[in-house]
Amino acid sequence: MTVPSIVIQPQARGHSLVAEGRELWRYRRLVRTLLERDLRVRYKNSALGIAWTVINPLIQVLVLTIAVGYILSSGPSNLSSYIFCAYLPWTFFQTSVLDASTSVLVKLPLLKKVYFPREIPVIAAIGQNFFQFLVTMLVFVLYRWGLVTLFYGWPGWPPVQILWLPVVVLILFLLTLGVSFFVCAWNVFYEDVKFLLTAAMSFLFYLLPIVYFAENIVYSSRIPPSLRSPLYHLYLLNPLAWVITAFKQMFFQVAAIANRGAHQANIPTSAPFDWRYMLIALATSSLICVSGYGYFNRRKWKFSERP
Amino acid sequence: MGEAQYAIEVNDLVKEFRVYHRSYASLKGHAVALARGLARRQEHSRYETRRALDHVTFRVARGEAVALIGRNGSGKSTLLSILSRVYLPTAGEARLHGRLVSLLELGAGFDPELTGMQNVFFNGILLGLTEDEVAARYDSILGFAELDVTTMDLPVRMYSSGMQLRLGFSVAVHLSADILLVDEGLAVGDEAFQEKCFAKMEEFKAQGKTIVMVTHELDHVERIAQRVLWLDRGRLRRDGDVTTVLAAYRQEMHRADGIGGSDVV
Repeated sequence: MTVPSIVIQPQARGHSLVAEGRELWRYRRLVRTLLERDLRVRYKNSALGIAWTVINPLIQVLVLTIAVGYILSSGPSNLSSYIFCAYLPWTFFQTSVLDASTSVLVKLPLLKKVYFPREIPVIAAIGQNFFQFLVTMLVFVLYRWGLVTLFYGWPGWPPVQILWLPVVVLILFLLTLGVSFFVCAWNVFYEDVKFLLTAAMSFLFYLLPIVYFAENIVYSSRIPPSLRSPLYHLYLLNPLAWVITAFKQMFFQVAAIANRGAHQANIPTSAPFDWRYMLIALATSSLICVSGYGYFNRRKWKFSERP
Repeated sequence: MGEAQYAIEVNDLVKEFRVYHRSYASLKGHAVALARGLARRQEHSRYETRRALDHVTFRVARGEAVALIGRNGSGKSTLLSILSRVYLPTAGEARLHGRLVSLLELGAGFDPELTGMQNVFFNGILLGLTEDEVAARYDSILGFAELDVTTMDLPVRMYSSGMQLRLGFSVAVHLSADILLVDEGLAVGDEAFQEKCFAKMEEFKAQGKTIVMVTHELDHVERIAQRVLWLDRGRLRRDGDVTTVLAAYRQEMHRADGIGGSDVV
């Protein structure tokens, strides 16, 4: 067995991300252990434990369904399923970014004592939320094809584009990772970021097609007809807006998205899944992920020197 | 074993920290400072650089036991932090040949909510072992820490600080590292455990492991070390055998504070 040699040097300018990635891979066991540990600690002293993961989005879906569907009485007939569906990627993105923003900061005492790749707390925070995302997705499937079937009848199979789900989830994951890296690196030095983020999230909530559809833009009477199509395309260039739209498109057949417009000439309908947007979203989220990782890497050795 | 003759090679190591006069650890403060800086065409205007290590060069041979001494703020801990890869140096380089474990981090990764057993596994993996390796050493870790199986199923928050420390030290010495960094780790715990730690250190020395220790207790130095490095304001002032350097150091301390040997700043 050869003795490992380690060279400790100042960080070079064009530091290779590949080398950083390889070092991270060497520490993959630590990622898993930290993830398990965080999951265990998080639910240790709560009676309902992991169920909270599911209860929170369920309550929000319920409230939004009542507010939008019953009080505003707009949207399609199965609005709660649509909102639940949109909530899957949204909750994952939101909680991941919020958790990741403080992940390094809470581990700072450890960072000041032990060497390990500095991105591990970020990845563990996202991994934990990814696990919850999968659990919530399972609950969604049970709701849509179990509970709804029981009370309203079989809702129909999802379109064949559901097969793109792994790719869409990958896009969501890359995007979340990239944004988290930026946000975490900022938050270590400027703790305002955390507060700014909370505000940004509530803004983002209405900017994203969660309680409405991206296709609403095409049918909006407030937008001049010539602008509708360009705005719709522009809107879907936001990778998160596209991912949420894609989730609805993958789980539901093309359908009317408003229940009031039945007597109108053009009934608003949802658009089918479009793989061209998928390629764009894959490109933008990969770019965000790589640049986020690069930015994080340039700053990560300053974390332990934080005053 | 490897071909390298030295366990640690430190070449011309420099570490600088920025000391900000106005600590603007907020975005607003930063924006204001940035705007001012831009107006004056300088990027950062309100910090000064403090040099914690100033062109330090030394080598530690395989199997050597070296003590780092010096007053508070002389750069000892910074040096250890660079060797344990918590900070990156500003200039120069350090080479380590062999697995290093630093006893700075005794129980650093312990989570109060988790049980002793879970923490042992987490800490072991944090310091570079695999799960199987921890499992193989588990009984030995328990034995050395003088803890029994029922205690290990309790959350660590119910442990006394001495128990936590013993467990942390026990995990650290079971990592089968080639180089050990020790930072005042021995000054804690009860008498009997301290004695046990010393015995372990001597055992490591006998096994040909490399030890670098930082301490203010000069009798610890005399007991373990073969060589002493004296750091003074970031510079390596003396490097030599224990008796010579300690004599010079004691004399200087005596002159500085009028009280022999103590390290009060």
